[in-house]
Amino acid sequence: MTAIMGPSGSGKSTLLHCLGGVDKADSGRLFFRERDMMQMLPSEIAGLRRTQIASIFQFFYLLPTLTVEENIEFPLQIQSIPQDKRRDSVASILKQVGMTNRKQAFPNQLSGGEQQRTAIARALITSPKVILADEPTGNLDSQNGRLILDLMQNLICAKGIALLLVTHSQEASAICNTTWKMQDGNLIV
Amino acid sequence: MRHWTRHPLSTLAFCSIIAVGVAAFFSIRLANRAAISGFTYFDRTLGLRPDLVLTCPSGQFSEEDLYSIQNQLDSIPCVMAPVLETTATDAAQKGDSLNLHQFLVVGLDTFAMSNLIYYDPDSSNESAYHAWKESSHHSQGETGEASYGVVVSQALANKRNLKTGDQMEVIIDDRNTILSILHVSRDEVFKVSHPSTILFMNIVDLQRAMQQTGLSHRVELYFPPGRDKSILMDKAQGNLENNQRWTVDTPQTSLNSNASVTRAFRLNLTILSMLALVVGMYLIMQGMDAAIVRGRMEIATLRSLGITPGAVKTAWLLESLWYGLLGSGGGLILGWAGAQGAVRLVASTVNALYLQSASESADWNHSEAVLALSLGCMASLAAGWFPARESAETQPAEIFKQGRQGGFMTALNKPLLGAGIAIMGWVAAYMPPYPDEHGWIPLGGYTAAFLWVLAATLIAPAGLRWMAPLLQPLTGYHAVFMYAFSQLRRPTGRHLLSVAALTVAVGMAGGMTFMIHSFETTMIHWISQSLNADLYVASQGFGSASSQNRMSKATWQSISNHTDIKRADVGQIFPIDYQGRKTFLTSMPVSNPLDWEYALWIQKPSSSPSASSNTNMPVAVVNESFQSRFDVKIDDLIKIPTPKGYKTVRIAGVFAEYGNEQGTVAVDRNLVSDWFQDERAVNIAVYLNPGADPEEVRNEILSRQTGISIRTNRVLREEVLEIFHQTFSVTHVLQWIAIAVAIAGLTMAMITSLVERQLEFQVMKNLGMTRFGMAMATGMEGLACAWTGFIFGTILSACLGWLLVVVINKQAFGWTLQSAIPWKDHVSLLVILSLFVLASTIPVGWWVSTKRMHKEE
Amino acid sequence: MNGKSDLRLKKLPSGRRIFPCTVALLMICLLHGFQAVEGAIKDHAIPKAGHQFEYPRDFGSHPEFKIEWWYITGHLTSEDGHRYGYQATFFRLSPDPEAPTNSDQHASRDLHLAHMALLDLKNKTFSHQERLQRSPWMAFAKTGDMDLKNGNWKLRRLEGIKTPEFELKGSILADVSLDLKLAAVKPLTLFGENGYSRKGADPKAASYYMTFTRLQTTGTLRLKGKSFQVQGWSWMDHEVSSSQLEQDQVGWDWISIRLNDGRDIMAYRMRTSDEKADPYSTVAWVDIKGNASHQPLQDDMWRVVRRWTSPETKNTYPVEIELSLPDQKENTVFRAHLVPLFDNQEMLGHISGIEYWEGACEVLDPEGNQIGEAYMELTGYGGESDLSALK
Repeated sequence: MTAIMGPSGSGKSTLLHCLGGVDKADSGRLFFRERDMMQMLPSEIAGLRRTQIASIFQFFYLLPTLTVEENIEFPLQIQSIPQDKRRDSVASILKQVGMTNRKQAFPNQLSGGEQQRTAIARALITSPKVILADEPTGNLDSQNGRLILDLMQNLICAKGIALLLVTHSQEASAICNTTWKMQDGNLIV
Repeated sequence: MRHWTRHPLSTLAFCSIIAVGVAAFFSIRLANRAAISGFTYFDRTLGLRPDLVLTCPSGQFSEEDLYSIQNQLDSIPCVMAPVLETTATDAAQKGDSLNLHQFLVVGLDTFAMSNLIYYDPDSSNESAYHAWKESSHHSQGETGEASYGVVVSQALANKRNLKTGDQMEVIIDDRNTILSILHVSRDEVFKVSHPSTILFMNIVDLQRAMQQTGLSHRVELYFPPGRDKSILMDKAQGNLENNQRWTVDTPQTSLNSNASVTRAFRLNLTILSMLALVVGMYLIMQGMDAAIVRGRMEIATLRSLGITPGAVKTAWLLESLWYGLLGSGGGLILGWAGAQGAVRLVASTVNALYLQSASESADWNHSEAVLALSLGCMASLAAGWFPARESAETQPAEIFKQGRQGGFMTALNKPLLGAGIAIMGWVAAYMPPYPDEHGWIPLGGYTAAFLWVLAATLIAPAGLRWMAPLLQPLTGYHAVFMYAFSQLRRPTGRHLLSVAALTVAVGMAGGMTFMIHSFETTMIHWISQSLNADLYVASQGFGSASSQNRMSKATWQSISNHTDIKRADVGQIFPIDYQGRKTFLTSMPVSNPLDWEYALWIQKPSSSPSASSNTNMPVAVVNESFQSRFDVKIDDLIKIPTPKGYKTVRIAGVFAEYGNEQGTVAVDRNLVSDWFQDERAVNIAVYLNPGADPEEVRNEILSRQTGISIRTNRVLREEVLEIFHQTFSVTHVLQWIAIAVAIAGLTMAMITSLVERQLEFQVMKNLGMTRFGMAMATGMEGLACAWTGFIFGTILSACLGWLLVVVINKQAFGWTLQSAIPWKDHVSLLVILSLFVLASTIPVGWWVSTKRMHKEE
Repeated sequence: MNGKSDLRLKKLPSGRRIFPCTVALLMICLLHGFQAVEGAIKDHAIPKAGHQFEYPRDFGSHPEFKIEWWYITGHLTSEDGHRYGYQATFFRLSPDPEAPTNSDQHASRDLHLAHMALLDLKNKTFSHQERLQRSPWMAFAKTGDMDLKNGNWKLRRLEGIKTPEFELKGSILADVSLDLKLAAVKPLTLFGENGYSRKGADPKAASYYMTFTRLQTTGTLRLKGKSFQVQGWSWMDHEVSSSQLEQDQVGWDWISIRLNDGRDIMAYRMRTSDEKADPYSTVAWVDIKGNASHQPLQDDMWRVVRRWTSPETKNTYPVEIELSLPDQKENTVFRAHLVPLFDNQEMLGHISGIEYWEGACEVLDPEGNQIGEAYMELTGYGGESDLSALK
């Protein structure tokens, strides 16, 4: 688990986007398991995102027209995983994030914490190798923020998934093993 | 206000939507106007404007009438010019097609008209001058065939490469006639051009060519200029009125009475043409809303700077008005151009069904332009009203919030109100028609149509929500469906609007198709019942209600004497005025209607004519249109105007006939010929002896007779249907415009909606959705909207179709039609709609998915 | 338009001045095909000497002749003393004797041309109109008695009255109309040899020429909605002919004079291409009983005093003249000065293309005393423009 900290505009999010394959770096090379992501086709990157890399965002970014359950199920649907298998995974993960009783709710009916829990569930459902989290607690009060950090620590770390956490918060970085700092686009390890 | 400079594309899109709507409306109005003005006053192309026009209820003036008109005018100075009109077929185009090129030949009393030069010596119309000057030019050609002088238009001269002195061959009645060109008229800029189909002749020449001495169709009176002109006109009107033989009209009233013939047709067209504008209104609303969404930050800033909500609203309304003006202006230009094309379509329809109209160009008309312009601006303002109000009323804080579900447009989502309105419409449909001087106006029917359209726009959006559970099973199948159909659960206002627009477009288009299909089915039934003869003989080029070519007695007698012919029914038709309205007198092949075996009876004549006291009185049968227009019933006595005075006949039965909506009264042919002193036949229905081959007989007769065309039963049926389809060509164009506008609206809704949802796309991308998947999702979403619109549109179309067939047609035209549902057409509409929606929305999805995420910090 | 009447049917001398009615004929030829041009004359009746005039038959139309006209001019005065001059001419032109004559009403293919003019001295206006009709319901000239119609213009003899009396109704556009009674106070005058008036060396060039020189005129004029009574004197010519003009005649000047002493003068000068009087030019004195005495008119008897150029057509007309005529009865020379009441009395034939001057004149003696009233007709001054409208 690694935290990246730095002032606004230092390039934290851009780095995350590049890592997630959503954005392309202007120069340099980026390797995922020995493969150069700069050389990968869009469909290969999409494949990576489907199975290997997941993201958690400051503003949650749940799909507003889908219920909690559907939001979590969505990445599995993209992978065309059979329905019964999906159901099981979704049910178990719902339980893990404690959202089972809210599974029929739409995102706008949820509190910030609930939304982020759903987002974490959505990130975990594909069992990725890496989770990129961009200020996951930035939009939450401290109590909910604490809750989310706990959840991340418990679920992500427990499953041995790499977590790259971009944050302003000392508290958040505290859960990580390593903290890098960024300034003006440069990573200070 | 600066929106349009910063978003030229969407500005262009709005303006073009308004432009298309205004253009459709304006062009149809202009084309209608032109087609109507094309009636009767063809001499207006020579710059002649009569002050009074005399017409005859029997349709024909005799020379005695002309003498008595002169007597009654007594000492009142005026130029009195009888006019004769007929049609001539272009002999250059041989063949049996009904779509032969037809000319309208106008016979003018060139001598009388020469006196008009004194009325305006300085600017006497050059072509009128030539028309009289060079007019009568009747001479024997080397071949012994008669040749007559004729004045043709520049347009025709250019088309055929004709010049003064050249000859052209036409068929008048059943005779080949050589016309030699005396003069080519020159069109003046900004005046109605001389249509290529109009030929001018001296009236005496035309009478000779028609072998109808002394015949004229109307008499025009021109009063001299001066202070006392109006006094003279009033005096003349006073002297001439109260005469049974003729009616006195000003050109305007006379034009109106001609126009009234096609009133129902034109009313329908006008209503149809507004369809595009109505559908467009939804789109403008949508577009305005999108603009407001985009301008939100700006509004919020303005509001926080202390600008009042009222000022914000005014600003948005001004912007709507600006779009309205810009779009309508473009629409006028587009519409004017479109009218030039539409006028031919409308005119060809009118020709086929009603009177001869020779319009080829549509005049710019200021009042129509102002009407179209204000409609466009009003539509734009009305469309901008709700979004503007919303923008003004929303609190700045709320505005900053991203995304929103519905907004004002959810106001559309009122199924209960819609149901209430629908019921009101249903009540309206049963209101009796409103009578005016020319017939019945199905006001209730139109009201019902309007209410139902309104109801559909209120109910259909709710349908989007109802669609969601229906599609639910599909969502589990793939993420594409999951995302696409989830949109329907919480549709945005834009979705609602585009569904409403689609519903209206599909409903109206489908309703028309329903009507046309029912009409066609009925026609086919009627044809199979009434067209039973083996061969149909007509003068070449005769094929529409407006054609006036006739066969001489010699011709039809020689045909009927053919050895293979068992029986030949000679048909005659004369336009007459009954109770001040135009209708037709036709001949019945038998004297006792009971013997008329091929009639399709609505009310069969009683088999015991002796029951009636008037056994000596001639009997007549009327068609359904006549019955409903003039409110007559069996055993009523009606007085028919004829050149021999009024003749009283008893109505014995009512038959089905869909040839015209003005009504037909049929009387024994021998009587008709006698009354009109005219033995010429419009057509002959020939029944062959058993065993005779129709084709052989046809070829045999054609080898002997010229100037006629003979159709076998099968060919005639095909041609009747061909003309029928041609009749609805304008309707089809309008339908497609409405559908196209609706699809454009849906596409636009998708664009704005997706731009708003860019983040969601980004998220899906993050979750590993491919671009293709996202594009497909967009397509599916569009398709779901289209299908919802289609389903509700289908319901609406069934209602409107029923309304058109059972209420409006019956009331306006007096036709009973069998309802027939055009399944095939409807399914193909669905397929086309789906394909177009997919074709337009998938690229939109692809485009949005390729956009990079904007900064979200 | 009298004596010289016979001039009108001349064949077109191309490139020369054309007489008014020749133009009308040209028009007719154009309208009715070309066959009429050559064959026309031989089939029409020709006036012959010794014709027994019979009335009212000879007041009426003579359809067997090619051309015929009834011509009336007059001076009128309203009750408040304002003076008016008027002209009304009805032509019957038979263009096409070979045309198939059907039994129907189209058998009558005569053309009816008519001119009407009014000089209003009070308002200093001259209005005029020309008409052309062929339809029998619009215009006719009946046989048997005088009964003419051209639209609402009508001229007929009133029946049941001993002395000939006529009724004339006319109008000019919307704002002028006249309704007059014309009563003969002098018997009918026959010009020429007992009404047979020869116009040239060719015996066919002749006409029957009947004139009422003095018709007492009463009736109503309506000008711009106001009607008022008028009275005065009128002159009526009726000529019947089929002949041609001489090749070198370019026009004519004609006058009718009503003298206060009860005598009348009719004179015409046929002008040749060298602007001389043709030998057939004539002057005729009509005595109180209506008898005419003829003598040739020489150039020196007719002296032009003043010319007037039309602003409209640019034609120049000799509108003011001095006459020096031998007065055989008194064996003196009659001298008179004819002054037009109004210069612009030019008739513009918009339909036929005929342009001529037909004007009311005052007749003065050498001392300047008014001794009578006159009407003067000046034709053939229009040049080629006469034809231009028909080219």
